[in-house]
Amino acid sequence: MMVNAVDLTELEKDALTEVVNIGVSRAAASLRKMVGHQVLLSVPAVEIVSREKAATLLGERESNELVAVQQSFSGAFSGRAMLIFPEEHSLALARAVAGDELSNDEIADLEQEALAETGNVILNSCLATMANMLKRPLTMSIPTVCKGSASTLFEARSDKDSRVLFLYINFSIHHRDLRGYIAMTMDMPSLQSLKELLAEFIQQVVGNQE
Amino acid sequence: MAEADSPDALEAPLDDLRERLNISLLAAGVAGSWDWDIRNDRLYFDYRMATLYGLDPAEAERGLPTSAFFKCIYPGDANRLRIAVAGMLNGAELFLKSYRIIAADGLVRWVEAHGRCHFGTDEQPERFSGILVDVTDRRRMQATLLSAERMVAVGTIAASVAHERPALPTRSDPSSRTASSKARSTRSASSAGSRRSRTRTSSTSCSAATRRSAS
Repeated sequence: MMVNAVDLTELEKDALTEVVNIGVSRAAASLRKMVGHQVLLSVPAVEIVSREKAATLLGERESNELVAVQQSFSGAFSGRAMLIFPEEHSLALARAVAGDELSNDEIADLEQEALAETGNVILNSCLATMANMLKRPLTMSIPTVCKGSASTLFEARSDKDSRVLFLYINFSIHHRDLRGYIAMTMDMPSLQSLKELLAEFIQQVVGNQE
Repeated sequence: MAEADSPDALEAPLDDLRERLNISLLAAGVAGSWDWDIRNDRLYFDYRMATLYGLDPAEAERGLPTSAFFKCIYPGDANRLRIAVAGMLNGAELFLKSYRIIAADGLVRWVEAHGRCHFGTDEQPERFSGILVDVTDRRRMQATLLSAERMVAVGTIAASVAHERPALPTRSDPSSRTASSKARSTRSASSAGSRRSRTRTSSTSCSAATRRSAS
């Protein structure tokens, strides 16, 4: 197997997982305020893979249609972030966020907005935390919602060599267990920048303790 | 009743509760629990965790410097744990980490730490508490299973090789020949076979492909 120079070491992956874990925790706190109920987001498991591999990993787990909330980000590292979940969970998620007292029709009307807002909270928290922890500013676009299969979500747009930071995550919102994925597609220079920033972060943490 | 309100009388049910909690935690495979007071920079270990780490339980209950959390960590896992703890001190809520410790008895043990950070009204991390589960036996069992699976895989390959050999078309006693002459005879036998029957050749190459994909 080809070893890519930009692939992260185990310690860098741990650091990335932890930075995203902080972001996910902040997202859970924001969602808790938004929905007024207990929200728990699991400690994410991170993998860095090619776009094709990301599509395969997702396709193996989810055979049905998927819903994704996506946002572009740019700064020290740039790319596209997506919060993905199975379509059959999207109404449940919208209901968990918008409230149980609404009728099915009302929920269906609100579905897109509820998903966009949930995605916005989670993706913004993750990206803003990455920016804060790594001490570099990032700007983010407005979220958009799209639907499709695993392969269409990871179709190449500009850079065919881009890599995907793929995160598995479980949501527990108001006693509903939902699963989802966060995927951040980045080109090689961005991944290289991220790798350098993670190495600095590790140095700060490990250096301070020793 | 005055007697019921005495400290001794209150202490007895508390001891019962502690004992029951200990039994439940032991039944769950819990090897200890900790409570990290982030604001006051103090760390509290319960009796089992203190014993596992070779610390004085009474002292651990009164509070330790937070560096005690890293005391027994297997050197190769220390940085991973430091990064995870840095995450907790910076706002991560859930903690789940597997790592090795060198226990007070000198043995290396695998543990799984399940923790949670509690935040104050100012939304800053206040306490980081959790339990440690000893997963050494589970890890050992997984390693044994993995090794057994590998042995089975090796056995399957060996069996398929052994199964293949008598099936090779030979014209004379193979034991009297060298390996290279065996290979030559195999090649010539195969090509002779292919000349004789196209159907047979195609079925052989199909089974070979099946074997390759299976291995």
